Amino acid sequence: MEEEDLISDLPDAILHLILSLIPTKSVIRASSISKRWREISMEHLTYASSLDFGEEFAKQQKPNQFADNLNKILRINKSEKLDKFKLLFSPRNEEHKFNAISWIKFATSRGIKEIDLDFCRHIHIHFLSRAHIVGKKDAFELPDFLFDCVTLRIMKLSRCILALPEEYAGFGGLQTLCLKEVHLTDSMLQSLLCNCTLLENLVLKECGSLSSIRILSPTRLKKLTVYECYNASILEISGANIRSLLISAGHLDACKVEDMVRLEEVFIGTRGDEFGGVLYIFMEVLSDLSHVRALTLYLGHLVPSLIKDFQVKFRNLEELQLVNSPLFGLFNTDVYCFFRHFNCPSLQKISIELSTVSEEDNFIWEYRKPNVMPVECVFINLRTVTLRNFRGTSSDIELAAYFLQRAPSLESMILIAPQSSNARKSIVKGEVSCSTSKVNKAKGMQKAIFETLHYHLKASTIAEIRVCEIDERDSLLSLFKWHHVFDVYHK
Amino acid sequence: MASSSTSEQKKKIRLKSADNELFDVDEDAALQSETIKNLLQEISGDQIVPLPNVTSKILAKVIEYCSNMCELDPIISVNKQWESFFKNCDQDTLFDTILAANYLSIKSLLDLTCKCVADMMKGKTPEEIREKFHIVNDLTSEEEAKIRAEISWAFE
Repeated sequence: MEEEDLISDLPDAILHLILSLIPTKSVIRASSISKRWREISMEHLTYASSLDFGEEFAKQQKPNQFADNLNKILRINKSEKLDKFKLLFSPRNEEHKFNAISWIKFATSRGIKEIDLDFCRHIHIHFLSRAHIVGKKDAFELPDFLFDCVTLRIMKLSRCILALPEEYAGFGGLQTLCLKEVHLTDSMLQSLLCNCTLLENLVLKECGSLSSIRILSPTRLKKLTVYECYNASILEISGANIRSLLISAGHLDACKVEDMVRLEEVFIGTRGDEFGGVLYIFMEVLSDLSHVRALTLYLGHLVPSLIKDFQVKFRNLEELQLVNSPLFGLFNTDVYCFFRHFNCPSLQKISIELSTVSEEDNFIWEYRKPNVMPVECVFINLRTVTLRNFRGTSSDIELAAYFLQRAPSLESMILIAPQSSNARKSIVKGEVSCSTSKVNKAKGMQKAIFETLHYHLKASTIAEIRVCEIDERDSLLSLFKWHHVFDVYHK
Repeated sequence: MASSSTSEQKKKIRLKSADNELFDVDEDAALQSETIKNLLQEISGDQIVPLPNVTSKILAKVIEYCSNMCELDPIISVNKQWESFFKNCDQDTLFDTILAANYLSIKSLLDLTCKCVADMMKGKTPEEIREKFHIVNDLTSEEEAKIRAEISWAFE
């Protein structure tokens, strides 16, 4: 039945639209499909307003080859206006750097709106090693003329040196600025913030050269991400328009948040806080943010001895996520500890990612395990409970029962079995598949869990319990994506 | 979806497909199509909007999509469902919907369906793409060899 070539009959404009959605390298490959596709793909490269020399293009190419091929494509391109330009290149010598500067010139001279430049693709970063600190030596320094570009709306820079020219006057219309492992000084950050008055979205990720981060009263800023800028020990943030805030830090001397009247969602986390100092600071921050609607904590254990004095009432909090951070497990006692200190009367949705490390097996957890008993409270508005990494152990069942017994309006409890990291990745790509053995295993677990939970008293008569193999709406992933730190989740 | 048409009767637009089938559609759903919006300005009153380029099978799908987009549910999950529908439907439906979305000028549907095609092409060799879409290779072997030599680097 399906023998007709329908795609080649599509009008040129639609084929161009399709080609604009695939990487440049795939467009080039498409030129050897047939005569029609050769014409269309050459035409596309000639007039493309979006050029993607990112990961797909860079794959398997040595810098010299990469530069040659990129230059070939730029020679073909005759478009007067360029909307998007993406580059992932590892300049090894002066000639490479010279090339990279000429490519940036190509983009800025054609009214570029969105630029994404990443200058190192060979170093794999592990969050525990700090070997990836961008040293001044050999690193690529962005050319001055980039900072005169007034057409830019979105700028993403990774692994390079940012040095503002002396008479820097700001990127007229810049709305999104994303700096990942970029070397810049505190005063340059200040200058950027002062001069980019339309900025709505700022991401600072692993910018190790910053020693303090002060983001004070930016007029339009709506979304702010400060992720593991590991040498910045002082963090001061205020902004009446900020709606969404993500902070992750392993070490801080001080953190001040002020005047965040419109703040709706907050993510607070740490990838490694060996002494608990950050946790104490974060608890103070949380007391200042008690008006938020959604909160995600990526802290692992909550160290009850440190937070014993805190009592915060999150009066508007509707959605809560407690996530297992890589270094610390998250156990039932942490959940109880949370509710002992934080009163959440409006809570509607809670999602908890439990530790994948067995609590019984590991002596470290035994040593760290705080002794917290369940808190007697009623979750009057709670509708949905999601427990991830649910293995059906006695403590998992205990936690499920804890919510079942205390949530009179509960509609659904979703229990999600742990997944291998591969399974997680395939979800991200949208290739959800389930092997039969896994389904059987899940079914077996489901039966056992239902039987056990059946014996517990449910406060809500309509509560439905479901065991799922895959979490299709992984809100943590979408939060990370939204804050441009999506990659960290898979390291 | 719960019925919301009790108190206020929504205005309906009557559309006619290429095979002369009539569809009554909520106005706000129909107006997602720029083409229908323009046609409505040209014709007067309660006349039927003729759509000679769209079959009833495809028009039904397009209307379902437009109605979905008007609902207040989080657009993201609705979009995901449609994406998975178009990725799994037969190619006739997919390409006819692309042509319909183009003719009716419904940008979000055109973007969505084209993205599905793009995702089907990504990471595939020219041979695999030909097979997937039944494309006949009309390049002579010399022509193909020449192109392949020029772009050999893109296959690494």
